Amino acid sequence: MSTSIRPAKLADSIAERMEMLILEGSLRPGERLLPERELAAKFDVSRPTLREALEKLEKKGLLYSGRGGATHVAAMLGDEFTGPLATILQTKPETTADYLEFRSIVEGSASYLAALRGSDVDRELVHSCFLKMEAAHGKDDPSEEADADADFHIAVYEASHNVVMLHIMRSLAEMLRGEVFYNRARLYQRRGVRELLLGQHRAVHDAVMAGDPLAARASAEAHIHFTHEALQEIAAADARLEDSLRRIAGEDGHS
Amino acid sequence: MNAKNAPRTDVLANLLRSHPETAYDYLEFRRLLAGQASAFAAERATPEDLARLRACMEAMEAAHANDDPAEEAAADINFHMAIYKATHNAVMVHIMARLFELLRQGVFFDRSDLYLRRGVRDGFLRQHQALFKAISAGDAATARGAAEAHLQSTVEALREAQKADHRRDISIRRRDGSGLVAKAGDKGKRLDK
Repeated sequence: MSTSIRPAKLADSIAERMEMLILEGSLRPGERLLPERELAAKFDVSRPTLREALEKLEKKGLLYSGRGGATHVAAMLGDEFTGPLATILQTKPETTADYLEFRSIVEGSASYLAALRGSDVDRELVHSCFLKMEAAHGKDDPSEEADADADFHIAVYEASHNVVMLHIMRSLAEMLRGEVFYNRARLYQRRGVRELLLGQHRAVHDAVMAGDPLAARASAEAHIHFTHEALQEIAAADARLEDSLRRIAGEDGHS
Repeated sequence: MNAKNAPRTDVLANLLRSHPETAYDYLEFRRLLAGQASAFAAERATPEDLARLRACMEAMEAAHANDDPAEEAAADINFHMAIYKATHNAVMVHIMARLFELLRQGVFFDRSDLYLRRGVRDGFLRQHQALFKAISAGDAATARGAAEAHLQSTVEALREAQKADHRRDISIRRRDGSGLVAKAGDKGKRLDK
């Protein structure tokens, strides 16, 4: 049995601390770290020590150097995960329904856990995200509202305090923002739809704030089901419009 | 076996691997999905899906009978993946295939540690049989309950296995002595000094 005890190397301790921040999701993928000099000052260590810590994390793939020597937090799930998913969705648009089915399970569970576990700080964030949504709604700014919508859901994932779920769903949320799954602007352009969506987010918000897990799950599931149905309605309406346009074009051709 | 596939996605994998406590978050995530996925499988499984599930079940039973923990652990993953395939949800299949790959690589916990325990294996087999029966019968509610119970008992088994490892380390130190006293191995004397 080895009984020797040595103090941890400073660089190792810093690397561990930063790794923990990445794991818990406080350091987010894509974020750019402070310049080395400032980081070294924050940790109160020499620059060579700091550089050693950063190199360790780069070797693990957790950080990468970008242009101009800036260091960024790496994506947790790379192209290898999101790439094939994007391909399936592009080649088979009906996969959107699968995505929403998956979301309704995860969203319901995440909201349940958020209501159960969310700290006062988590709740504050959920609340401020909702206020931003409301403000964007009042300003009649669909793209800002859609963005606030995505932030709201991420805040709920954070409040669920499950890091596996958080990292997976954050990656998917980025794809959602990238319009991989469906065209969110089209959803938000419909005035009536936006009213209903806001009301659904309010229901999730209220349940999480009140610490009511069952109500949180039910309202989150209802929200995703509604989204699914609204998208189907929009697709059907588009198809009808195309039919009409073709008919009109056809009639023109005859005259 | 690890570095071979998917080096880039392993950022998250490496992170989870070096923080064993995340195994419980993984199992919680699995539990949240498993109930509904099994219910969908019960409702949607085609004859081909059921044949695949049956083959996985039989492979598991054979490995169990042969007392082959490694083979049984592998068949276990195939069985769960077959359930996700039977949901006919391409997004869920994609995400779970990735997670099961990490599980296979031992990212979350050492599976052989669980499977070497006879009692755990017996319990898992019974739970898998109950789940298979419910899905084959098209009984969504029972399938949901069976899947959730199975994941719950996996959490308990893992917790016990980890505690058992820790307890064993203590037993070894007590048997061999701490190595810090003047006459090592002179145990027992301490009572009749």
